[in-house]
Amino acid sequence: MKTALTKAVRSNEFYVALAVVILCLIIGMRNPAFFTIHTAFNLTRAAVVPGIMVFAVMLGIIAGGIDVSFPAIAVSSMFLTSRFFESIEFTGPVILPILMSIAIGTALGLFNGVIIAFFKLPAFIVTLGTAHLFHGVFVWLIGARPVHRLPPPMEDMSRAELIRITGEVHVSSVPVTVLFLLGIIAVVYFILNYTMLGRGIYAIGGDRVSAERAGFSVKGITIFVYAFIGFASGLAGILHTIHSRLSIPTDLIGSELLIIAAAVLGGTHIGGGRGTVLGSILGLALITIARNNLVMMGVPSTAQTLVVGVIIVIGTGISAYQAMKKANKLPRILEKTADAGGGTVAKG
Amino acid sequence: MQKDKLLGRDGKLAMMTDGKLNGLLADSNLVRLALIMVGAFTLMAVLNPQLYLTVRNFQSMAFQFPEIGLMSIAVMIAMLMGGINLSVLGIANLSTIIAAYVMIATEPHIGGWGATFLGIATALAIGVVCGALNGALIAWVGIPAILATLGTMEIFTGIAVYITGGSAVFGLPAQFAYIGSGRIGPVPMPLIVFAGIVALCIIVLQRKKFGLEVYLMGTNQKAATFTGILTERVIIKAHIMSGVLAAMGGIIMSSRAVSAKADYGSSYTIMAILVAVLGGTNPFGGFGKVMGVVMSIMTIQFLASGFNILRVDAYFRTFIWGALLVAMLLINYYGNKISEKKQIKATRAASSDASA
Repeated sequence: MKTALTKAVRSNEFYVALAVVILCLIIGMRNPAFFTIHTAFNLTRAAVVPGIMVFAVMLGIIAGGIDVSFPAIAVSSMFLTSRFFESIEFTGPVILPILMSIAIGTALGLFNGVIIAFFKLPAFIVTLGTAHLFHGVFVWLIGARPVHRLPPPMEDMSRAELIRITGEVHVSSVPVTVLFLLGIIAVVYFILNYTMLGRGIYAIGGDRVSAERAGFSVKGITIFVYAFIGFASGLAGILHTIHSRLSIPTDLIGSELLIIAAAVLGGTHIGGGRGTVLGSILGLALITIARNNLVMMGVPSTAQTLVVGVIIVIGTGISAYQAMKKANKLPRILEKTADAGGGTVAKG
Repeated sequence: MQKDKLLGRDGKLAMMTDGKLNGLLADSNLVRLALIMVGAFTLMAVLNPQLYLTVRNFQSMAFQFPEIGLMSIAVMIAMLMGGINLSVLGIANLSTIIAAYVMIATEPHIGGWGATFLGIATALAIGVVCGALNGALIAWVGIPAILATLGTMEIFTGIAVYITGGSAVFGLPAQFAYIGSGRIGPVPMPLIVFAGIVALCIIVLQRKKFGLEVYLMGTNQKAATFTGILTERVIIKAHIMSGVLAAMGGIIMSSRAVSAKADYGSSYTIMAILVAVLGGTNPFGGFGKVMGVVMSIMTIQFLASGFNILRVDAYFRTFIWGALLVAMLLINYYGNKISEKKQIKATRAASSDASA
């Protein structure tokens, strides 16, 4: 019982949860309007699209690679999809555009995965290149004209609500799209904790060579991870369009680093091998609240980038410092024994 | 004679062959880059000779590329140690914004030239401070470079946005504009500044002990530590150098615009990484030459100017940069494989020679 408690207190998730609570309390004290169901619902809506991307990217980071092409994949698949369904004046079921966006995303993710797996290249640099490649080629080919009127089924979906509460001041609602976020979280949780594939993802992130020798198909797992990131990005992209009721080819681009920061704040180790779904949920909460509610706290809008930067540095700094101290302990012990050994030899 | 060289004193044997082969390996990289650069230039010149092959076009290119070139070298230095610096643009903008305030405040008292020198000194000093912060976070706190500099990028840009309120700072001394838009004879000032700094970087990185330490750390940090290199100090020093180069890039950038702003050059971070990798810098650390980055930035500029003249779609350009980066990664992959094979063969030949 005691060990379980101390273990929980020492875990990274505990610190992130603490940070989330403190941030909420500070905002709430400054502005009581924060503690309302309306804010909670708004935050949930704001977390859907980034959330889906956070969990996909987390999978990549655990496997030892940082993907930065996911916003480009998301925006390319959603833009291509919405332009296509606009042009055919689509009125069928809304699942078709969603599936098409997911299919495009998965294909682009596969492309990343194949290059990274077969040429053993650093994912960060490869995806930096493919991000430009995908975004550039699609928008160039189909033109940058935004879609202002989505096909009616997509418009309808943007208004679909899961929960709706009519208060005195606002009407608050949770969009149906939140189900997709919950679905992705469930899938990632299941893969990481209950499948051999999940073990493999942790294994290749921890030590690629050992994983290979242990019999994991490193190439196969790598390709799966990037295809999954593509899959989730395609989904996030189309949901973004549905939320905003617009399809603009420059949306989402530039959000990659903040999403990665959310995953890493949640304790996903940037070098690979470590990371939990719970941690990323907390990281996502921290970033979403910091991005959306700093104004409520009285932070001027011009200072928001600065505050987010400070949160990233402090948040990652604490866990990095602890990891470094832990790593330094071992050599020190070795040094001590070496000193002791040297001493006896000298005496003899 | 060749045999004499190989049969030198025991310890020297491996080193000599190794040194020679490394030289060859690096050269083949540079040769590849030079070919690509000439190819890009020729392609653009053939596509539009009347407008491309003019003094004006050459001058405008020489005005444009030094700022990203300097930031690319700044990224390259971080990459040589197996890290990265995502905050170069943040450093560039923050340092010039503070310098701009200093220049505006001091110009009435010490004149335009005095204010310009003070401004440059301020910008470089901010570059030192920012670089030292990056280095300290990486070396002392132990944050991976990519995250530390991601955080500081937000912090530097954040401070810049906060103190300017997001708008541009105007009213810089006319003398300051000379750095970015002046000329000595037909040669633009930015090019002269760039050439001078490149020469300095080559000396520091490829001729001095410090440079050797940086390369060694990127190849094998553990080995570097056991060799007696104070790795923490090297990381901090290298990031200070990176910060100063970024600030220098910022000076040229804001001097060309005769103003300073928190979001100038929004695509430069990505471009600088692209240029560094295109120039043969190994993102895992240990390999990369300043000249490679110089050729790579010139290649990009040759293409960009050509695209401008041809009025190519902006998204097509984005596509080309991405495709170029991926293609270069694959070319380097195969190139290195071939050189590795050569190296193994040569080492085998040398050892059989030595045993015989």
